[in-house]
Amino acid sequence: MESQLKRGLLDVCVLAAIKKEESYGYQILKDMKPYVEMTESTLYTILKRLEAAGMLTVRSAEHDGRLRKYYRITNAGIQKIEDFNSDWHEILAIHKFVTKRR
Amino acid sequence: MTKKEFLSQLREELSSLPRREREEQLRFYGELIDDRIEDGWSEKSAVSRLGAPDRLAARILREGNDEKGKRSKPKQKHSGGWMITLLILGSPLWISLLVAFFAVILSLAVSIWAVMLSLYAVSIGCIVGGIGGIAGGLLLCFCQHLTGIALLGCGMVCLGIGILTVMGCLALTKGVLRLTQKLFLLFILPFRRKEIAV
Repeated sequence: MESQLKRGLLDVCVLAAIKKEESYGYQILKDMKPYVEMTESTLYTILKRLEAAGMLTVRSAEHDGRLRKYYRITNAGIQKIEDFNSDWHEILAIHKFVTKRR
Repeated sequence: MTKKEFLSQLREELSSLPRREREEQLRFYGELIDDRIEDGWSEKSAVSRLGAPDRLAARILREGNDEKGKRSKPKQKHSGGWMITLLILGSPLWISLLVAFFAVILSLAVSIWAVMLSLYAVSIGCIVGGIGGIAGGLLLCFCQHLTGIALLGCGMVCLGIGILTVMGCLALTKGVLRLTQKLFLLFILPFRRKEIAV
């Protein structure tokens, strides 16, 4: 898939993974695995980017004697998911047109 | 490879990164390994899952550069500024050239119209002279028949020439007017349009 498109889509995927409740790196990968395979380095980049954009917040919490980073979605992040959902109709319409004109 | 070995190798591979960023990366991958172990993976497989430290480091560095590349400001286009500078610097030249050009056009127009006017003058003169000749000839006819008739004839010829010349002048005037109109539209209108656009 074209990288620019994929980048945007994977951002939304990660946001969706933390939408219901905050999550941590490994859990996010696990949740996405049946749908999308993502490398660890990509996830790190995405998490950093979303944090810089204010779409999630990070906190460190103790877990089993070690520190774990938890990522929580913000309102901006929720908005981004909603934008994606509304864009989706447009994407479907374009796809319909493109396949019809083949 | 143990977690410790992996992370220390990764730290070396990422030595080009600033310390804070490097430690953040190491913490991220260390956490991943720990979480996998907690999930039931063995330390060995949790580590090998991340691949070789050098390859992971290469990927990390590449993705980091991609991010930086996308975030950097687009280069400012300097060409616009240069154009204006050149225009201002060259203004003595092109302004005077423009003025000279229009002066030439103007003098051409004036000379054309001057020629036209003289042609008109000639034709009117012919007409007037012709009428005069006709009138005089008619009058003379009563006294000196032959001279009178000759004068009448000349007068008529003159009048004829005058009329023809006038018709020619009128046609010429129409042509020149049309040409002037076209030139006017060509040169003046583009400037007007620019003003409207601005």
